[in-house]
Amino acid sequence: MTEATDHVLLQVPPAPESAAIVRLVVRRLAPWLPPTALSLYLIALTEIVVNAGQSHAAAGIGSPIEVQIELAAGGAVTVRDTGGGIPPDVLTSPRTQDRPTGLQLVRSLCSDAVFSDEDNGTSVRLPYPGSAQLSNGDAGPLAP
Amino acid sequence: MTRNDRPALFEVLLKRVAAGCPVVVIRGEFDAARVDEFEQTLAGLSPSDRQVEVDLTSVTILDSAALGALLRLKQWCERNGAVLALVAPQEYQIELFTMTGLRHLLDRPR
Repeated sequence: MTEATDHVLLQVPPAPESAAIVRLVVRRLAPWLPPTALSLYLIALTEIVVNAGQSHAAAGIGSPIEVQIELAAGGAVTVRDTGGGIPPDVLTSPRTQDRPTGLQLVRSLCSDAVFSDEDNGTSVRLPYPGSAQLSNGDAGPLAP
Repeated sequence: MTRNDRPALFEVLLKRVAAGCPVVVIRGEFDAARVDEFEQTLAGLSPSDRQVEVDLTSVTILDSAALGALLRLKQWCERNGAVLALVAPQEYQIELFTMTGLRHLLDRPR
């Protein structure tokens, strides 16, 4: 883990168990979030971390997933993988097996999540709940 | 890493009180990494059980894989003529089940 002035950078193994580590760190770094909003946010984040791990597994990549956790309340958590990316139809496909897929759940829980294809993978930026109101200069309690 | 820094523990127990329905008690973070453990515990259910309760009181995270596991349990109950009761859901759980179209799972069986 490396720590800059405005964010913490985690590198976690591409495994489902890594989601618990990411949740633990975010709980510590974003204590201002109300319990219900935090729980729903962490569920969305879990889906993204698990999906990133599956993406690495499908591509046979053992390298870690990068998780950037911003410290300001108006910030976000960004998850970057170096897998094969997310096919567009996965993001827009209807529900399967009577339940939403993980990424559809992310869309439901966090409509301002930003999915980006990068040169060697995908990044997903998940703004903290209420970030739209705070991003105009209000900083969280941990902001430098 | 101190004890308090460790990721939250997960625990799933199948409780039976004499002549009562089985209660599946889940504690901690129920996510994709824990679905196998949950489903192994369900092996203790019997097709003769008429009602299965799942106590969500102490569940702090429920992801899509966990929702899928609860749905499969619901389907197992239906196939065996039993009803599934999800007990004491928290506010975030009610929001989650509602926004995923699974609110009906929280309806108390009659």
